[in-house]
Amino acid sequence: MPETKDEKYELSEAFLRAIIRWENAPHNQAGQDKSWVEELERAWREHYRSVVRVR
Amino acid sequence: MIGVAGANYYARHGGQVFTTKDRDLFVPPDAPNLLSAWTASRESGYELWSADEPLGEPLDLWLAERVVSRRANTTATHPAGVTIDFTLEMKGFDFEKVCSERKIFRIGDVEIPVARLSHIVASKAKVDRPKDRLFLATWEEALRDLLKDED
Repeated sequence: MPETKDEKYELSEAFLRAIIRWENAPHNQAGQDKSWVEELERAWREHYRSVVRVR
Repeated sequence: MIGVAGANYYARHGGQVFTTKDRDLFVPPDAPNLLSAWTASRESGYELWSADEPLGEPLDLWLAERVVSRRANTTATHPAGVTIDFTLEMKGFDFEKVCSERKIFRIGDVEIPVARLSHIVASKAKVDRPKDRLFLATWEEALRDLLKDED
């Protein structure tokens, strides 16, 4: 993370290699079912929509 | 799908999923296609917006052509809490590059085209807002630990 707000975020070669490996990992192969991501996001939305301030 | 919502599909567990208020759909600079997207959204119960104002009426090719020429974003919001941004730009990339290398994931029987994570990350680095820096730093930390474990 940059130290100052004017310093641009530099992507290191190691990070970029890791990203490529990650996107090619078994759980990220084409055709993988990602329903759990949608279910998680839906649960978050429902949770925060139902929040009521009590004090 | 691009942006944080697109990156979320690459997560392996809930701890790697970022909250985001919208889903960014990268659409080509093609007015008839954008008009089709608007029409399908409205028929599915979404309201359409441009900036903070309702999208003009009527929804027609003339309006879509002007939005495309300005590379403006339009947004579809659903009462269930879903927000979709139709974006015509992805910083650092053109539509053809992103589309040709996309991944297809599934939600049940529905196919979800998602930009490569490396494209999303590179674009975030170019935009470089505070929230993009946080996104990048979090992914960098997560991958450092995860890949070390897998070695």
